[in-house]
Amino acid sequence: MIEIRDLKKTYTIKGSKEKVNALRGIDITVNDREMVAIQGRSGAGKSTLLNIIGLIESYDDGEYMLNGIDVSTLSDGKAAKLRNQRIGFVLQDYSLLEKYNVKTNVMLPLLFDKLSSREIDEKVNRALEAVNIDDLSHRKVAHLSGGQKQRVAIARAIVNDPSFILADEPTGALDTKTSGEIMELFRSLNDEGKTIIIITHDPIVADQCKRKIEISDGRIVSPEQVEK
Amino acid sequence: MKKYLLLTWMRLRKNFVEHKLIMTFYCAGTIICNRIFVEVFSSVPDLYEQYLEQRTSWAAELLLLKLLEATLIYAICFCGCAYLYKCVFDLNREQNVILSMLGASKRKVITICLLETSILTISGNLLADLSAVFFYRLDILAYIVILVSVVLLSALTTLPFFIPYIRKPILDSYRNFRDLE
Ligand SMILES: Nc1ncnc2c1ncn2[C@@H]1O[C@H](COP(=O)(O)OP(=O)(O)O)[C@@H](O)[C@H]1O
Ligand SMILES: [Mg+2]
Repeated sequence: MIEIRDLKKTYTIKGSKEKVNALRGIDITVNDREMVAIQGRSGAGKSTLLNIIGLIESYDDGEYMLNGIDVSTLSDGKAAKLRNQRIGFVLQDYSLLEKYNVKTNVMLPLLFDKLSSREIDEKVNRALEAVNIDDLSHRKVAHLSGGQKQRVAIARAIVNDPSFILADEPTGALDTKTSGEIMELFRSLNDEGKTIIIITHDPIVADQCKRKIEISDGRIVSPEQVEK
Repeated sequence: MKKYLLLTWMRLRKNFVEHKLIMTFYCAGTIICNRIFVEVFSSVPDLYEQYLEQRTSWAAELLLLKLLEATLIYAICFCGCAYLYKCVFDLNREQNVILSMLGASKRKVITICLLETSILTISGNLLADLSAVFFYRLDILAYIVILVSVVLLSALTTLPFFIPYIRKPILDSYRNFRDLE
């Protein structure tokens, strides 16, 4: 479960004293097994929020509890371990190691754990099967199509069986048909019990999520949150 | 540890295949740096003995000058190696960012980077110094002394490579890296 209260984040632009208030007091609760879409204009603070949720960026003020743990108390090592075991990322640009093959890419999160090579192989195969690309396992990522790359990224995100999947415009670089297939994957992962947060510009993608949150100028403006 | 080595090995292989020039420069640079360092320092013990025997200000000056020269040369090599290392670091920047996103702590990323550079420098220097052993037909004691000094010197020349990592926490560059795309 994700509980965020009055979260604030300010960036200072390098070389000048100018400050950007990326988040100006965000409150969100995401329960386990939810599938949430985050929408908003470019520059609204969506990626900043997702990166903070994913323990990639720090925040300046407010409170963030992840599964009951106060994130601000975590050391770098503990945060990394949580990121490794509880969180899977899927990004618009895939963030894969292009020069390596599919299997190596999917295996990466498992290298920071104490697993035998057999366990690693089993987990990788299971993840590849889950996204229907077990036949591509030895192909170099650079030679794959966008849709296939995104499947590799999803396989990598789920290989450690995390509870949360955070996706930043995962369909942004894909055509409508492929985008639909990727969303179907996310939905079936959600049915299996994963909590999913997806940032998207695409209303069709957002409509497939069970809840929508809109961010504007570092604040939540969706009706749901206003009603409270 | 085995998996770090696996990852390091994969990375070394890829870097050598994809960036032959930088990697060759890097290896050659560290080897040359060590060779010069050894050459310059090799006359220091003699000069020191001379100073002990004569106790003249002239002998002291000579020794001091030699030490200054060695320090200067080492400082130049140090900068050169640090620059070459930055090139290798840049080759790996994307991978480091992705690894930390996937759950590698700063310590783990640094371990992988250090393993990579240590393997590069130590193996390069070992080769260079072993060839010197055969070239000069040294006896076994000299051989052992050289081996020990190789490891020590390799550690010394690897030292500058720590600096960029300590200064630049890997995740801090995450956003900048992404925004560059
Ligand atoms: N590293 C950074 N340095 C300075 N400003 C940043 C940085 N990252 C993001 N910002 C600023 O913070 C705001 C929110 O950015 P972001 O979360 O990426 O928006 P979104 O994902 O909604 O498009 C923007 O104004 C952006 O320019
Ligand atoms: Mg964004």
